Amino acid sequence: MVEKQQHSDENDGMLEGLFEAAKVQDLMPSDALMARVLQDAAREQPVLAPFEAKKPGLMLLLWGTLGGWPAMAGLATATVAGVWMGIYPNDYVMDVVAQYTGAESDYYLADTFSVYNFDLEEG
Amino acid sequence: MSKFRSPQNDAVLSDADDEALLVLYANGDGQAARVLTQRLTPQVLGHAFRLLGDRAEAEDVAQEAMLRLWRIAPQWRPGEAKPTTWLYRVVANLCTDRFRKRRSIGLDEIAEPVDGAASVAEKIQNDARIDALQAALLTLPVRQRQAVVLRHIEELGNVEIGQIMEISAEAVESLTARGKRALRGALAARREDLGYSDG
Repeated sequence: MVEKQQHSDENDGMLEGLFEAAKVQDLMPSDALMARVLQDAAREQPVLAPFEAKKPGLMLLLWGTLGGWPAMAGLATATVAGVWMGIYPNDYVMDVVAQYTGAESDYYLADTFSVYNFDLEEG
Repeated sequence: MSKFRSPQNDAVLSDADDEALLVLYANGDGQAARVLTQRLTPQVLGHAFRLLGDRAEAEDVAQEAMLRLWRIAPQWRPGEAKPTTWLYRVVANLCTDRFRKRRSIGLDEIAEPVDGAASVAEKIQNDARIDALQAALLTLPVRQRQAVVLRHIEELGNVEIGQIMEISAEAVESLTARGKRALRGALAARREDLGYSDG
């Protein structure tokens, strides 16, 4: 029994020695293999397509000329504000509108400085 | 040629880990391919040789495994597995395919190493030991052989070996234990030849 255990230990030691020898074994790839692997790498490497800006169409050019989204945002805001004021006008707005439409007051064009005409004629 | 040669970035790239290099390769960096080739091909070749016992076949397997790495690079998902773990698995699968195509070689059929007459005695003995271990490894079932090589020569942990072989760490332990027992049996008769004297 003791002898069997001794043989087992000895074989363990031998096996460990063989593993150590295998670890430092020179298994460097040949230059030819390295070259083939590098060729494969170059052939298989993804090629990223260069970025190409899309040529704008006529509508896109017009859109850009008008100012694009920033300009449209201002226009939309003004439109909404106009509609709002049309539906719910306040007193000031109504007064101004009344001035133009003549709803409550009449305005006449009067020549309050006609006397100067005389001065001009007199020299 | 110039695609792989730009020494300025070599130092930076040589510090990068395998996954980072793989991402760089997928993004068109040729130097990353060169660093990965230099770093991983020897490991892949060594593992393939220890499983197959044939240098020419091992080189074919190594090239094929690296080719598959280049092809998987654009779809590589960082953090899931190390490239080396993935490569060991690919090598094992490729070797298994080759085993299916040929009959397994018995220990007695392995040619004894032939050394040049000018070799020093120590080198002869070292080579003889390596060849004896390789021959004994080839007598093991493939899974046992793979587990023993990964554990005792590549020095990987049981968990990583389990990931490579897609088995549990306990199963790896069992495979390596059985493999070592078989190796001890196969090599016991050659103790004297290999310079392991009794006592």
